[in-house]
Amino acid sequence: MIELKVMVLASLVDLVGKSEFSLKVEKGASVSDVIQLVAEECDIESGLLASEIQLVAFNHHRVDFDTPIVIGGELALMPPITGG
Amino acid sequence: MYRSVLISESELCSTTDVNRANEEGAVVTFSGYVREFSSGDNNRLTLSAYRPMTDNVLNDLVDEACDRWALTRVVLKHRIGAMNVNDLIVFIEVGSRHRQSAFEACQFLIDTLKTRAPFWKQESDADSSQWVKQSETDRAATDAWYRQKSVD
Repeated sequence: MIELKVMVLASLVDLVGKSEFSLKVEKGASVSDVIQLVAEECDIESGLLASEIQLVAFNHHRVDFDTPIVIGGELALMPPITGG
Repeated sequence: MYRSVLISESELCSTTDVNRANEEGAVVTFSGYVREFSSGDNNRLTLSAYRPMTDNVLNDLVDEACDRWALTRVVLKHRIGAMNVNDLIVFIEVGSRHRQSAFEACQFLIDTLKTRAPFWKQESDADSSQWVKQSETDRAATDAWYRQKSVD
């Protein structure tokens, strides 16, 4: 198992109910798997959570939903961006 | 080539003190301000970011602009935190030998920043607060730059 610090950004905090927490996941779990675990942990429908996420970063670098997580670090879940 | 990228919680200024180089024939600026969004009292806009990823993405966008156009300067400033109506949110200044590169690079930076740099806006007034939704127009503007590149 590896340990992740999960960061939840902006409007997703309203859905998830917290902005930061730790989560243990199987080595090699995909980003999608982690999102499903986050949904279970926070008692949210996983499809709803996934549909609200536009961008995921691992250790501050963008990753795809099928990227495997093989080391511990910081996983950030982000809704659609609205800067400028 | 002069470049500067700044994310600040302090009030921004829509000027720079960069001396114009002799070969710099055009300087284009863009300033984005907080506008009134409701008739309620106390309109406020709060900008949040995911740092340092946001800093890295802004620097990547400046790199990309410098790859696409021959630029002499790029200044990019973005405010975060709580702001009032008329406060400056974003300031971009782009210099080049000729105007077309400066205009295009400045538009590229604001278009792509709006959908690629991790910033989020939350509007509030005396009665309510809501997260701003990403607009279809903003998405289309970013997509157009990358469609254009693949055609090139």
